[in-house]
Amino acid sequence: MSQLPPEILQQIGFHLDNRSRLSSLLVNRLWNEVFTTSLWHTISSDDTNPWRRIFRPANYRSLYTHNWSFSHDDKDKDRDDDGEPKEEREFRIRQLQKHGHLIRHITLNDSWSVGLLLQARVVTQLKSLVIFEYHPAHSGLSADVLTQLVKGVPARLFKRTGNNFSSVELARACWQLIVNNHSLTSVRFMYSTGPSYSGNIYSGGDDTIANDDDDNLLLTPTQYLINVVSKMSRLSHLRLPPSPAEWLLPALANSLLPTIRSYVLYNSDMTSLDNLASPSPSSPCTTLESLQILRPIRLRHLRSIASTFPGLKRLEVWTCRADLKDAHLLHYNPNKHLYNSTKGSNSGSSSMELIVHTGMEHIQISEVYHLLRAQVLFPNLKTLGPITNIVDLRQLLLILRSFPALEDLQAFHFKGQDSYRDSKLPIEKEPDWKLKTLVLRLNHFRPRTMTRMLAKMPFLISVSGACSV
Amino acid sequence: MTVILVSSDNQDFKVDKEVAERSILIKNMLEDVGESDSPIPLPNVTSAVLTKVIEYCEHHRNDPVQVPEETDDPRKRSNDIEEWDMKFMQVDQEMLFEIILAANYLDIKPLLDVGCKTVANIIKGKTPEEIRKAFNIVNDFTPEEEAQIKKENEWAEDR
Repeated sequence: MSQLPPEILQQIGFHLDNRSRLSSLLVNRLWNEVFTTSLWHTISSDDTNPWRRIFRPANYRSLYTHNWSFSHDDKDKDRDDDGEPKEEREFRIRQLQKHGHLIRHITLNDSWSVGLLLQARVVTQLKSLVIFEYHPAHSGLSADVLTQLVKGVPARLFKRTGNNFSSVELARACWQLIVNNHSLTSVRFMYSTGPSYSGNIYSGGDDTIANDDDDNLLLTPTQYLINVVSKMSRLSHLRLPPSPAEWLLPALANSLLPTIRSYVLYNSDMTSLDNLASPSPSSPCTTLESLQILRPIRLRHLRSIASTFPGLKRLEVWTCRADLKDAHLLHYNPNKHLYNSTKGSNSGSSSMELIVHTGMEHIQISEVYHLLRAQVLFPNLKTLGPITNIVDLRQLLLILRSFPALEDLQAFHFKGQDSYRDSKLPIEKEPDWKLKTLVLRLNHFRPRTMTRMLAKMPFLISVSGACSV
Repeated sequence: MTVILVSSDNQDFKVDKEVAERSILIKNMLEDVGESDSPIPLPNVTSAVLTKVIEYCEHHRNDPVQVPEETDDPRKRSNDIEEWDMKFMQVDQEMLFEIILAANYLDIKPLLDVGCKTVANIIKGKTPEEIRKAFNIVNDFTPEEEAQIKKENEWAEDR
């Protein structure tokens, strides 16, 4: 009987569930070594077995429900036990210390887990780290322990006001975790609603905060972060808390962080986006492939994003609106294209220079009309949606014409009325569209014009949506 | 264009280049050598196993080439095996292991994956003793060691 070598057993381990891994590691010595590795490879502090014995204290529920509504209170900073027996915590720490070097991917769902992992101080070969917005008072760490854990991360990165000691120190300690894991490929701070929003505790990006700390670095917070991130040669997915995410955007735009391929921006005050590409950077960033913006942006930002990040393949934006600064773009009426038989000649007044972005393949944006108004062309766009508003058939036609490579279109709130005007749409003159999937949710089209449109889609594989006849 | 592969027991297999190049090892060899008619020796693969491997590569000759991205992130992994592959893998265990080893040696990632998934499916739901029986593995733990490991992992048991 031939035996499988460890590297293949390890491959097999990736395809198993935790319960099977636990059985497997009791088979023999070789299997024990291999499957202990796969058991600890990817862990999460949520309720899934087997990790809840490590990351969930017995009184977990009461711990959180009881204190949920309170504000940061210095009284809490010294609580190092949450009513948990000492030997319980020691057991958890011991397990993490024994196996921490095996962990590659970890998701921490709350500050208690963050505190536990930090206290164990062993996790040094992480590939991905996900930290959900934490509630600092529940870290389970005493002030003494926290103070030790933050050494090496400058205090000036954070605002220190009277009563946010523990939230600042825990956030600092998290950065320690990042700094100590040079192998990280993905770091994500996830936002969830909670009383502490760690984005608010970061200090101003370029202010030099009075240095009451032992660090001698004369760097602004932004410079410090650029230093940290640019040293991590494998980091490609980065989702920082709101303020640091904003500070790093200029560096990203100027190609100072070439490893980052995927970035998330909260865009809390729009300054960073307004400063983008005005004028266009001398060396546009070709390495960024995916940008997600979790706030509404303005019309002009679409242009600056397109010219700053020519390598972008994927853009997700909550929504796009126009404000006073977008006035120069508002004169442009993409609908004119629709009835303008001479292609290319743009009769619209005060039109801008068209930006052609050839890399973009996927866009998610709720206001698709603005996408057209920004006068950016995406000739290779393949998918649009799934959260996109398309008002009527005219707009649908406009989109199909504007994105000739489109294969997958999904839209909410499509209300295409089969009006008199719509039935006059010059569909017959259109080329055949490449669309393979068309999903129109919540729609009210009547089938006459729609049928004519569908007839122009010979590649269509699936079409779905409600139809009221 | 065809290439000739020679198994460990000196049998010649004439296959289309496109099929042979499903194996990254062979693909790289062909690229290094350039245009050449000389047979490629595969000293680690018997003719019985090579027959199976070629059958797999023939069937998947038109599959898109996998991006060699590092996917040790288990969230991205699925345990689905497509029907043809499932049938293909219905062989005795000796052969299953041989195919996996050959796929590893020849660097045919999709075949290696299917093999590993097949073994994983055998392991699932079994107790340690059942696993040993299924794969004919000798328990080399001392009773004390075994008890110790059981105790150490008690925390992880579902309760």
